[in-house]
Amino acid sequence: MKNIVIGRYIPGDSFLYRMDPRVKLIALFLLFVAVFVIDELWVMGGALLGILILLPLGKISLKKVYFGLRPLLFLLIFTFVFQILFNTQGRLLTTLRLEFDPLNTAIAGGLFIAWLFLKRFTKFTFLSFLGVFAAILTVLSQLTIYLPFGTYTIAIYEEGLLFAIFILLRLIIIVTLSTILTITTKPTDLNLGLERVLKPLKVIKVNTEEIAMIIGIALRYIPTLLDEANKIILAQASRGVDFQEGKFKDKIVQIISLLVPMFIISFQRSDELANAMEARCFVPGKPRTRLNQLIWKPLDSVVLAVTFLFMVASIGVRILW
Amino acid sequence: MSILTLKDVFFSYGKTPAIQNLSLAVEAGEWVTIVGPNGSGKSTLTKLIIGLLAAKSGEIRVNDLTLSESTVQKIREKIGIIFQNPDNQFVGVTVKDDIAFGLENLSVPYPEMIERIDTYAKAVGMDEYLEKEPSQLSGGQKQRVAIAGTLAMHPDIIIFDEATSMLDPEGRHAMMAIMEDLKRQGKTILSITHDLREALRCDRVVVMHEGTILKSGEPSVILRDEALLKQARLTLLEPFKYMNELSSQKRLTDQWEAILWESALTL
Amino acid sequence: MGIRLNAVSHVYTAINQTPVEAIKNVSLSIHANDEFIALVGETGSGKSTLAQHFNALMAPTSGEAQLFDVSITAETFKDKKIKKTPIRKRIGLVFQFPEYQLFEETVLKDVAFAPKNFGLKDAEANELAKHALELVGLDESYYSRSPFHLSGGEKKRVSIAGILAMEPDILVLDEPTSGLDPQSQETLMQVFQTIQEKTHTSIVFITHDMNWVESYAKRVLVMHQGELVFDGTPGDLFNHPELKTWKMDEPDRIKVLNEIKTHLKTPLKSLDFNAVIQAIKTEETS
Repeated sequence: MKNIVIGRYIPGDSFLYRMDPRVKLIALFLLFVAVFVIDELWVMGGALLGILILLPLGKISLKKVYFGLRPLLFLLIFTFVFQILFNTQGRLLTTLRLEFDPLNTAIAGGLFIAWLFLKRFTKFTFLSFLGVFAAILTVLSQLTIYLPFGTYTIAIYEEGLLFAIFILLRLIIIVTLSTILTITTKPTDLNLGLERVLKPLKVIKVNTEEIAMIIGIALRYIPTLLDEANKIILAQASRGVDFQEGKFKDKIVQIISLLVPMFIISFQRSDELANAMEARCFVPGKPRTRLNQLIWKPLDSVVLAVTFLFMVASIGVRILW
Repeated sequence: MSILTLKDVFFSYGKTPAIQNLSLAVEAGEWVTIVGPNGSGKSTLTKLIIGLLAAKSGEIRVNDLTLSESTVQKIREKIGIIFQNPDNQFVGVTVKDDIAFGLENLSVPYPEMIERIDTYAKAVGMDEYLEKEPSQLSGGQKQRVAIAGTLAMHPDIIIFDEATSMLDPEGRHAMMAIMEDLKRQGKTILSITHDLREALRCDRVVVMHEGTILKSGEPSVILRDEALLKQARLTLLEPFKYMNELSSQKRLTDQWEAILWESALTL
Repeated sequence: MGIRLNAVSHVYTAINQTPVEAIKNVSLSIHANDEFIALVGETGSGKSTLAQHFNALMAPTSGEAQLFDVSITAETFKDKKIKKTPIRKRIGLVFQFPEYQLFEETVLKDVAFAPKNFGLKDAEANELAKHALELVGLDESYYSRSPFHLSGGEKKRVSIAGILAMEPDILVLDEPTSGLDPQSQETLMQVFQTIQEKTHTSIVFITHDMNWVESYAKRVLVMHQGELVFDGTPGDLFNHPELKTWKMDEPDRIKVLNEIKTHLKTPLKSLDFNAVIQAIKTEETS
């Protein structure tokens, strides 16, 4: 429970940290546009190279970015494999004929189950998965002895491979950029930046200040509520609640025994907080001055100009190439 | 004219009356302590005064303003409240943000805001904690931040609503010291508590029970009245046991009355 | 022996923060019968962390907690084969806020929750619950009431009954009197005393109020900056030269007596109330 980190902000100091959150958000948006406009593999590769150069300049280690990418690893691989298997355009590069018979299918299945079982003992879950995957393919393609009941041919086409790489690069760039934003920006600054950037939405009656206030209070109270939840779990554990034991019916009661106190405490808390806020003259929707001033620095103008030019350039390349 | 006047105020939650025909007047610069057991209606009173609850009948006045829907915001600007639970009134992500919260609501301009934050953080001894988050503070420190946030809004009256009940002795003593300091500066204080030790230094004690005022008067009189305190489910403080015993034997001299009063102030 | 801690330390580690040593090298033992212990210390001194080691809610990061016949260390705590719930049945811990545990629609059902968790039939669990409610002084009229519509003091008592229904050998209470008015506090302390007299359950209570320590506890444990700095009788504690260093308050009675002493010419022979009154009177007439 204590290890949940919201927003993944990691304190540090570099130009990425010093940038105005508004600029970070706008720059991120411009770069996203650029990344979606780019349709040449080499430009996309260049963009990723650019980011790889940017990281050490901004004093962000690759490891931290990898932690940002990790939860999405499965999605990345899935997209990659999907493109390779089902995109049949361009020149045929290679084929791999898989023949299923009871024996090799059982071996393949066994390998996979073994991996499921053994993965908790290794730190290299992903690498070991690739190894097992390769082994399964080898078994299925080479080891056909008796009674094959089906075949499947994997065909890899040039276009498919290139497009798969292209999509992979695009996703990596998007996730990396977002990770850089959350690593280098305090949640409160991000919130404030978002409020300012979305201010034009007021025209269509979206109250950005109120949304920002809600996010702000949520950020303030998430640690408190997690702490509370933890105490409730311990209090019920003291009454013999054991989450590893018990029948289904007991489990339901156990969960209720956590949820009811959680709800009651949260409501009580929000009621008291609302009173305290009103007592300090908070009126929803009334104009307020702000303690946190965002200061636009020369750096911000430069960054904005560079990202804007990059977006324009990528649109230019798209049209002219 | 009194700075805060309640006249025949009545309030009930559903059918159970919480406040019954209560009248009270607080003078400018006065320190009034309302004492009473849990459920005597003390805290309902605070909510009525700043219009978080609406009285069913009666009148509440702050200076020359009568509390109504149109004046409630003006009245809230004049009254600051420190609530019981330190965690449920800390709005900001840091100490600085929290002190600023009320100022932002009052649309205080930025440079003045910075100035007031500094002044009042110093006044409560929290000036070295401005960048700290609430999880890094003790309950007593959070309450001090709440006081700074309230004082920074320059209220006419400051209400302490059981503000010490969740603190350890050190936190309680620090809060009491701040209240005495405020009194010296001429601030009007309304403090609500069930801890009679907190009523020793005020100007007037009001004993509440079941939504009404049983009696009010100087601490030296009220705090010695064992029958009255018993009726309000409160217990006599240690020094007054000696005082009452000596007095009942007609052996209480002025000197010993003074000594025992002094000893009460050490509690 | 009920609880025996051997050089227990606990370090909190949170991401991006320096580790905090909440309790350092604490050794103590608590008998399974007839103890009445006050656990005191300023905010952040490690009292609550220590209490959570008493019933295996937490494991020492180093050292060992011997809880009846089970030894809890950093390693054994993770071992799922070593069941923690039987320990928690024998050593009951009541948290500071009743709101952390109350959840059923009636008082009786809520109090019967713990015994049911230990596999008792409804009827047996209800019997235990009724007995526990009687111990904390809540009669039949409370059985079918909602725990959420009770006063603060009554909620506290229901939450304590919820633990007592397990018939623990040792009862640990985290700040049971906080937030209650003086009379409710007194009632509650008397409830503890009655429980002890009737069941010989050992009671450990955390408090900030030295008046309760003085008038109820037989033994005091003082925590200061994560260390157990005192283990002895209340009388010895209030005469201890380091009382102030540990940020401990004195009970009202002692503060007043100290003040009286400074104004008496002859030293007091007895600290009994009537004796002190007599001394003051003698002083006046002479």
